[in-house]
Amino acid sequence: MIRPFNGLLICLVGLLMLLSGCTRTVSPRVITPSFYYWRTTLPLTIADRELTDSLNVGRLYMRFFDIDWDPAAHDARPLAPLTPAESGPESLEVVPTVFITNRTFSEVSGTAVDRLADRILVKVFAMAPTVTSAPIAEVQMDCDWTESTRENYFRLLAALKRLRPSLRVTATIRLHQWAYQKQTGIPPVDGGVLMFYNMGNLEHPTGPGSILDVDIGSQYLEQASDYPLHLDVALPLFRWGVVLREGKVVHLVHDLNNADISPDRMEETSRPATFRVRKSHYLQGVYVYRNDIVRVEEPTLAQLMESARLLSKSFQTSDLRVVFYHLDPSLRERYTNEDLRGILACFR
Amino acid sequence: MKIFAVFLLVFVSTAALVRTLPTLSRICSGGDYEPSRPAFLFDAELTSEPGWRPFYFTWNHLYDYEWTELPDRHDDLINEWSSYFGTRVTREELRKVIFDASPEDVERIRSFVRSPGDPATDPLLLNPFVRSLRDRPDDDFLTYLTFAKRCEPSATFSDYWDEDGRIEKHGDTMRALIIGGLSLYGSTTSPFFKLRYGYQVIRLAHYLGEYQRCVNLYATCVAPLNSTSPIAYWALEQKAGALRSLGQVAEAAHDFSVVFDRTESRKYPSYLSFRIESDSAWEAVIRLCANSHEKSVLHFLRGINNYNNALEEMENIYALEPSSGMLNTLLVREINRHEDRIYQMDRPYYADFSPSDEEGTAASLERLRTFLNRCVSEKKVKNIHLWRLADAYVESLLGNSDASIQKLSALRPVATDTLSLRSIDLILTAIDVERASTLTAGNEDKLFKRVLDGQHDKLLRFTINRFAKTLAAQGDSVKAWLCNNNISTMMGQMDLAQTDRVLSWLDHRKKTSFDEYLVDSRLANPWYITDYSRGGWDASGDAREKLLELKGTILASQHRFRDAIVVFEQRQGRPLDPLRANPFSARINCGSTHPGAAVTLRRHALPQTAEFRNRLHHFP
Repeated sequence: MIRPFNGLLICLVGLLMLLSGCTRTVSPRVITPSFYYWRTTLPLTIADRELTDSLNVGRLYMRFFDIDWDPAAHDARPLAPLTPAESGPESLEVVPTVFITNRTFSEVSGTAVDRLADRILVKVFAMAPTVTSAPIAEVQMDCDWTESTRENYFRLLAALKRLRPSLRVTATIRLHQWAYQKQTGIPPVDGGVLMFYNMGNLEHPTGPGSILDVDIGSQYLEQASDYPLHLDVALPLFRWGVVLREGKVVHLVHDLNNADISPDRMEETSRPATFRVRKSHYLQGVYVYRNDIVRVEEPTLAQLMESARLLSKSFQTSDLRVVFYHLDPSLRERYTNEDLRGILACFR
Repeated sequence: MKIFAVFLLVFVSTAALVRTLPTLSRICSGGDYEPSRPAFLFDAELTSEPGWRPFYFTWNHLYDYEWTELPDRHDDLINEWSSYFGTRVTREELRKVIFDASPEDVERIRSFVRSPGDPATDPLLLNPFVRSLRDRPDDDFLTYLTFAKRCEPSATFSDYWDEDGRIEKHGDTMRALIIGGLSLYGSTTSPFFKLRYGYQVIRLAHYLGEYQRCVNLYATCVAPLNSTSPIAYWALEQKAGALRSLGQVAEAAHDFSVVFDRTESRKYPSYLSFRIESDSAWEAVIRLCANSHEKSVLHFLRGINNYNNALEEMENIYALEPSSGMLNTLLVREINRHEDRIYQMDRPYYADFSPSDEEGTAASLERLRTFLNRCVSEKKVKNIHLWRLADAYVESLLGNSDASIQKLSALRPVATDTLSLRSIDLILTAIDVERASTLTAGNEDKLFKRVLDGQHDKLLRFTINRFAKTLAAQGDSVKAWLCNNNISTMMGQMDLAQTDRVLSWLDHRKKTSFDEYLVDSRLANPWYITDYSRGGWDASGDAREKLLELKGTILASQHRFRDAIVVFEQRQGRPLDPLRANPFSARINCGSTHPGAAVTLRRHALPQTAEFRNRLHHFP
């Protein structure tokens, strides 16, 4: 039974929370901002520095290399390694992050997985001193694993931990892995980062976009039960162009924006941020053909703040790391420091 | 208290059984059909260009297994050495020396050749090729082989996980080998060996990361030889890689396109290496082309990229080089793409099932028809019969079956090769299947026999899909259902009413060839329960026996034991034998896959099975 005074208090608190927008007035949690660094070269630019300094970012999740299955070599191999700066390593704390394709785990199994874990650690720790002067305390693995590959992937994660017990091993968790945890399993790691993006329908011609669809995101959040791992969250600050040919997605053009659209080669359609190719040409490295449709997608500030509010409700931990994907040269053109602080405030 | 405990035990056991059965009934739901490669009515082999196999249409990747069938560098080398030594040496004898011999072996061969009196004792020296070297010494060859073997450890060093390892471990040796190789290049007068030394030093410079030196070495050592040997293109490929590292994107792409065009063994790797990302770079590569053929190759390389618009590139190639064989490869790719989109059958799990822009794809097919009409009438293309066949087939894909039949009939008398004639028959049969708006016992039987005679998996599946739609529209729901389902599906569903419907259909079928096909492939011997049948399923191949067993099992799972036994008794021979072992699990779960579940069932189903077992004692 709720006593009248308590009921009034609850109403007042609720009213205050509503009025205060994104700021929680009750027990504000500690929010630690970070960025993913997904470029292939270092050093950080001056603009990167200004942004990380202004947000007090002390840690970067840096993609060190990718791993994919090489059918010709019949082996998993590292690809696109991060090239260190000639000027020397960065001073920021770095979490080496390794993206590994799901198909790798369709091919590599058993003791080969253990060998792969060993190779990953050797390469990561060989690269680390050229990237950062800070010690490496954590490694993060990024894989869109599925039910059929989880056994091998989880074996890899366990092997990483076994080989370096003092190392914190974390993993990215995609929304479907989070929501369908019974099917996809819980990775044997020390923690994870929930990737709150890439959730919409790429092929939907009029949808809110494939990067961030708050309705779909909230549906995931509603159906997900407790996850037995400490999770931080990642929010998208990237943009891309979706190229559709005869209704099928054929390319994603990274970091495409409206300014890249040449009016003499592409024409606007009746749909927002959607263009039809009038003349075949190369668009940011991708060859687009006449009649292709290009849709430019970028999460809006409002979508990001709404997502932060939703996540804040679902993640009731006292401290939470919010990792923005990713530290991009064009970021400063699109979001001010205040925008990003505003997003972070929605978590408090 | 004791009575209560027994009651509790029975209650819990029964509850457990009731909970367990539905779970088990879902276990045997069959597997997904996953074809290993696309099969189309318009066969890619019609191009008669096996060298392009890696670039035939596929859903989302190139054919790795096809690639392994193509010639590799070893084949190129053996061909070259065979030409050099002539008929006195077999390819196998050459392989043993050139590929298998170690540097120490080569030294032993040299000593052996220099000492005519020494007897040959070990297998290496007994090799007739080695013995022939003693009779006809070839210093150039042995000197080169020694050098090549010294290059091998650094040149073939391959550790993707330690990319700097090559230079760290072999850098000094590699630099010394370049100097040594250049000296040997200068001392030999043979262009054959100059080319090989040139290739070795170019490769070493590239691997050392000395890109400009690599480019310069190509210009001084290989380019002046004007060789068309594959080794010259291997060297060009190394130079192309170095150029790209130097940022000379257009020059690199041009060189890769030349390697792609003129070699078999480096076709696929150079395709992967060819990269253009801007209009200005594309225009620069075009400017580097010496002739229309080289420009056509560039369009081909762009056209065979996954998802690219082959038709636009075909139009470009046709304008440049209408008799190009590359057009044929792009043609079959494009037709297979439309075939895949229209029929949407047999795609593997990773293929894209997304809805297409029907308007856009129809317009694209219309555009292809216009292009085909033009090519057929102008007769400039290579293999005009292929283009006429394509023209006829596209008419059928567009729904113009009369026009298609007319064109195919006109082509048949002049088509000479077996594959074209077979394709004509397949397409004509497919058109007749498509046009059969109703199925009677007579026309169904006739059509299906033709399909079976065609022995073409895709045509068979196409026909079954078409028949399923027509039968459903005619109200023949059980037969339509069987077109796309089978007894494995029924085992998963455990649907008594549907099992009864199928049994009834089985007893009253018309026994057309299609009926018999369905009985055999869907009920008696569905291939994907072949393994399972070894684990206990009645492998007699009798559909009725299997259906009765399934029906009895469903009834037993519903605790209708008397009804189940009545059904089991309708089976032939010793109908109740399987039930004596385990009345539920042997039928319902997948053999030994879930032994735990079977044990659980046995324990919990005890009270219910008692009656069942008593009844069984009355039977032999």
